[in-house]
Amino acid sequence: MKMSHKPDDDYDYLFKVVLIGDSGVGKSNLLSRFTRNEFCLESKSTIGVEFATRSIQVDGKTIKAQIWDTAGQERYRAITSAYYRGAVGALLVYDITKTVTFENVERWLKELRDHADSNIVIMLVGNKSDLRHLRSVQTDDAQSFCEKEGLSFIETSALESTNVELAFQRILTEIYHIVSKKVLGESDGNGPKPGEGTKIVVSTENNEAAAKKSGCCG
Amino acid sequence: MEPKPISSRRATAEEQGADSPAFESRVRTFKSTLQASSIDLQELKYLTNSGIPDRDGLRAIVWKILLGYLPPDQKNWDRILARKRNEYANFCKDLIIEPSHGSEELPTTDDHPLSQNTSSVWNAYFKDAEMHEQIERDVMRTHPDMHFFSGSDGAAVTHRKEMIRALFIFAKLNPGLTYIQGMNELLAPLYYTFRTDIDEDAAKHAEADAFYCFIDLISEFRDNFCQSLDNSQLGIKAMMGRLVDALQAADQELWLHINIKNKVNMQFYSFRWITLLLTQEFPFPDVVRLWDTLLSDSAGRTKCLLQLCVAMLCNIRSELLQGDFSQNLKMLQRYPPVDVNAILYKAQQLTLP
Repeated sequence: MKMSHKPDDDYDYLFKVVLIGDSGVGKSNLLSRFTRNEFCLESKSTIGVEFATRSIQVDGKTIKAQIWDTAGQERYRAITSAYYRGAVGALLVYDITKTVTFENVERWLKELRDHADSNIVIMLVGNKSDLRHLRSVQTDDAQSFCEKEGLSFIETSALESTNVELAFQRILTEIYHIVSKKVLGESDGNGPKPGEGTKIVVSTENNEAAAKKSGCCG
Repeated sequence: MEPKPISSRRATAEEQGADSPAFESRVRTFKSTLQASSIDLQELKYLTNSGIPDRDGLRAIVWKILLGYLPPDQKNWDRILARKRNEYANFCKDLIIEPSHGSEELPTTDDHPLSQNTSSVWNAYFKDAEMHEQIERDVMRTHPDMHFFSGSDGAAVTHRKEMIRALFIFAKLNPGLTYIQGMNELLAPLYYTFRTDIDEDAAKHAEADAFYCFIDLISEFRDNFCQSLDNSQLGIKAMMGRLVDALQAADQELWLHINIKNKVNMQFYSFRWITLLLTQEFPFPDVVRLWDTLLSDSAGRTKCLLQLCVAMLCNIRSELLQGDFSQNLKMLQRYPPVDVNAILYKAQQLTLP
């Protein structure tokens, strides 16, 4: 079960990452595959929000990922807007066999622009890549969309466990590099200009801060 | 989900219970209460509050009465059931749109599949199809661990088909609310209970019966599903606010720990507890037991639900007090296996403002 040998609260960085996208694209299975190495063909629909953590190593640092999975249906967006607070990464998931879930990506991007930090790192994830014979969204189309929008892109299969690890690794590494660069930049006396804010580093609001060591409870 | 420990413990308790004189006497008390030509509702609620014996389809009848589907006066039952079931059959006929029929009746030039006209029959058909797809997706994911709902044999397929249709008809009849994810979880215990009734004739009509009982149940909780009420005194946020207050009143130390020290927002777990009436938090037999109390509580269902939620928190207080933010949240989102009777007992001891 435990992926990390270190205790749960022993980490160098804490990053909050949200999973978003239409209902039924496989968000919960990406979460369970990454955090528990589990997959359910028919997992319950997510109501509200679900939460899991896992720590990984990047450049010798322990990064604890706090991953939030939200319900896909429109009704739950208003309630879930609180979940974007403090998020430094978002995996925007669609189903490669359902064109409409790809078309709705724009709406989800708007959702992020409205509710999340403007520096949030976004990765587009085309899930269910195991269903090759049912593919309706071409990789090239998604790829060029991402280039246009400045997003990272990956195709995954939570069922076959393809690229799931890599997707999380990549987004967490990307966040880490931004964060560590900012920290370096600051020590050079070359930090962000006023108003730019380095908020991305910290998972504010609800919980343990991103750059830990606040003598937290046991 | 780790349903095993509770399910098996409950099963053993029930098996022992089923042989015991106390269990038999409870069955007899229920039966005699239900035999009266005019059933004493207060008496029935009182009995149901401590659980309905799993025997002879008692739960199906009692739930139908408590949800106002069957009146206390038994002589009207056959007539009412026939009328309601017929009405439901008509809803099915009238509300499931078939655009090719529609266009025969309304031969307007604007009515074709590519029409932009929002009143187009085709347009309505596509909207319906989208909603139908969402319902289907969720019904497919209802209790994936139970063969009754998720099996691949003919019976399970029929169960899913009937649940999908009932939710679709509800959504069509309630355009202000339509279908909201999670409604499948509220229909499931009703449908299961009626479908497994030993009265085969009644079981055949489980779909229609569950549909009407679902309407009654949701009429009390519909505001939780209503996005436009989220920020009002009636909506889900206000409900969660009441839960925080109730927790603070019941256990100040626990409230301080969860809400203030760890800053675990109630929304992160109680949203699901409340909207789904605890159906995703416990193994199915435990949910059914909790619902016996929820449906019959003299304080009202909303208040009873809040009491149960507070009791759930208090019941694992020592574990919660030891945990940090993520440990608390994980535990509350995947409630540990417990004896639900402990929660019911705690809930009973609480007096909410």
